[in-house]
Amino acid sequence: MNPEGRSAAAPAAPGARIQTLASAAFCLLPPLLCFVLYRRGLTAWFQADDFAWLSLRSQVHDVRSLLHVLFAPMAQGSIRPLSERSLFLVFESVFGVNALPFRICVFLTQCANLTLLAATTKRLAGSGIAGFCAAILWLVNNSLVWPMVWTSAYNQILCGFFLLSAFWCLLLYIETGRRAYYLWQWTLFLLGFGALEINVVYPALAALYTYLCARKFFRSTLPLFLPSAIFTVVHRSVAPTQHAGPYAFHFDRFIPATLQDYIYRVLVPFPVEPMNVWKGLACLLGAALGSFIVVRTWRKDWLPVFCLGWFVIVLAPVLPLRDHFSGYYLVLPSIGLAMLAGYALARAWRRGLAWGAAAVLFAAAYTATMIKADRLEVRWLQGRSIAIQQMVLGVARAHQLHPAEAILLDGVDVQLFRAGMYHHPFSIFGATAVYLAPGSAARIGPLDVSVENYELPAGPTVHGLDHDQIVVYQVGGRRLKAITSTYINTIAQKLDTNPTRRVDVANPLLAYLLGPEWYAPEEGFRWMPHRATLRMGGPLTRADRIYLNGFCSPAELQATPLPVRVWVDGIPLGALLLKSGDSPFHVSLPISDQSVGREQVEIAIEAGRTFRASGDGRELGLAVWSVEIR
Amino acid sequence: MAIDAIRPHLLISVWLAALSIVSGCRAPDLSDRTEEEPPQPSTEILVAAPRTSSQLLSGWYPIEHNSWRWTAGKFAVLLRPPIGAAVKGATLTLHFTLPGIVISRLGSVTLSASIQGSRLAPQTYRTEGKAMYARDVPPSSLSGNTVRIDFELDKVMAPGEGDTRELGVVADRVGLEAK
Repeated sequence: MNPEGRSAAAPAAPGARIQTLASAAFCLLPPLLCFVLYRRGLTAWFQADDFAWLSLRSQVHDVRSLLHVLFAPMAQGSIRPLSERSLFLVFESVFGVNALPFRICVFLTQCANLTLLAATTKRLAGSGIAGFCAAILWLVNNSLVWPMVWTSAYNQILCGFFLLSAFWCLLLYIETGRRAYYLWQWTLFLLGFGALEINVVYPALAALYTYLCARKFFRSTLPLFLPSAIFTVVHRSVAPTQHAGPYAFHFDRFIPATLQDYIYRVLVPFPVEPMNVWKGLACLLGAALGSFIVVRTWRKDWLPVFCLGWFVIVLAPVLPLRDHFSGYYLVLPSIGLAMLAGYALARAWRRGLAWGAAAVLFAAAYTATMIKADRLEVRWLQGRSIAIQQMVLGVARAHQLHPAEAILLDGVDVQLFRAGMYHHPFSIFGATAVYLAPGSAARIGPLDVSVENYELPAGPTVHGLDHDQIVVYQVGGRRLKAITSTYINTIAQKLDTNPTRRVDVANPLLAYLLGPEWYAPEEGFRWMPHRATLRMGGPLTRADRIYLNGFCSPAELQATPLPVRVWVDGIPLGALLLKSGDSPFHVSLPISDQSVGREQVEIAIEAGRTFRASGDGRELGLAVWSVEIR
Repeated sequence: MAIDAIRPHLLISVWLAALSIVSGCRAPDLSDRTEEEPPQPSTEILVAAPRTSSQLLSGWYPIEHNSWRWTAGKFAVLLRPPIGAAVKGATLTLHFTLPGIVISRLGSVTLSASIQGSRLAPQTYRTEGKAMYARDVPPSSLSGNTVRIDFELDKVMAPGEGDTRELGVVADRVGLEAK
């Protein structure tokens, strides 16, 4: 409770009806504003990581696979059975790829969060205005945009619900002493682990609050640390630790700098240009909040310290992610600052008209800045999701019409690729042979992922078009436009027809490059007998090597190593020796200088011996995924 | 405050009510998601494939055994030149079968072709069984989006034994291959 002992549960007084109406308005307005501000988020479709979660259902075949899908570490080692796995499994099963139910779920949870935040702040600060302002100031914070538009960020919203509701129960327990609230706190806290790993910090929040404001309940919060400790140990033991890349932890001198960046970002929205007048105003707001904390602490009012503590404690787990600064990591920490700002506004208003007006001016400036940025970002993010929807559902339709043909997409831009195609959305509809048109990778530009792997090379494109194996669609409008004949008569006429320098031997579009020896394609590979041949583009430089990727029966390698010989245009390149443990294999050999510059070369691969598997009459040498010259 | 009156079952009810409103929303209708173009001619015709039957212009009898057609003495097809053919040229191929009865009755048959009016060299066949007619086509004959190819046999089996048709060869496929 606040140090002045104000309580929300005051007895009814004259004019109680007006007070109740005001309370109801304070309670309902933030959710209403949420729908107004983020209404485009309701109509957003799926994007980016959503597609990986949407395809989870296809991995469930029995109880064992269901448990794996729900609890196995995925995507940088995260385990979020409630906010990601269950949400997508259940909703996709019921609603398919209709995004609206997903979005409604997010909005309803956020409405509950706003109500909880308003009520919690009111209880802490003893002021309905404080609660109302806290909810509004949090709602407009720019960090909320992504979770309000992108379903994969629901983990932030759901974790917020568990943190706020558990803390709400703690406040009720402190106020009433009823053990049921204590147990509800425990239940909600434990459920929070299913939403987001950040939930581990809840015990620290509860302990900090009780230590500062309700000391006699401090000891009751200490057992909460046990589940957090167990979760941390279990999570670290089952989830792969990231040693490199954006999700690697760096406990170094950059942590204060990262904290500073997040403080700046929580006050200045992302799309606002540097040196903007709003930026200065936001800095003033930060200074005002800092001053408020100092003054109130000086007067032994510890609530501002708790609010600041909420910000720091909830942000702390992501501070070591030096190379992965993400705006929506501020969703949960900013709750603390919203409570602080709401409390500060209420205190200023009580202090007099001048203080109140100044505080309102600051809050209005902050809100206006944030709303302006929010609207821009929501519009952009939702627009991108709709463009992805048009592309993905267009491809799904094209696959219905041309189930046997590969689909070539022309006009995919960097956004459609990065938030759409890169995440293999088409496989949800069974369309696995979908490629970027030749030249797309260069147009999309260099990214942190290999765009080339998504592009069909020119040679196979020409061959596929000539043999009716490919249909071409233009991406960009409301509907995908079939342009196969136009593409053939224009762009394709200028394509290089030489074979590609990478042959995925199971790809039907590249089968024309294989000799007759190869067996039928299986799951991404083909078995070859004793000897097999293929054609491919020749080496460009003397440094180029030929790479073989595949596997062999481990039992075959157990006793004796298997020699593998390779020829390029009849010139022997030497022999490789596959030993026990060399399956799968990724091996390479240098290529003779004589082959450099040839448009096309013939490769021959020979396994030193063959075997026959039981129930399979074929003579089997090697199973090959790909052959590449680079 | 109003939240004090909120019970978990009320929240859950609101949640379920909202979701049930959209519970009727199933997978989206995909029918209007693409703008299709008319089917384009192929570079190769499997004579038994319905998709390319419109490219069999004249001199073709109905499909037999879902895999081949008899031709008349003169027959024609429409083909799309392969990509790059206007620069590199292409190879015309006709895969067909000469039944024993044709050779036994006619002794030999000579097949010739013309593309856009330009004659290609003929070839004579004297043995029964699988056969192929293959001729290089110069780029100058392959400049359009489609080309008409006319085939002609010097001899055909005359109607008889209840079959009123004039029969040439049993064709499997015909096409232009890129060089």
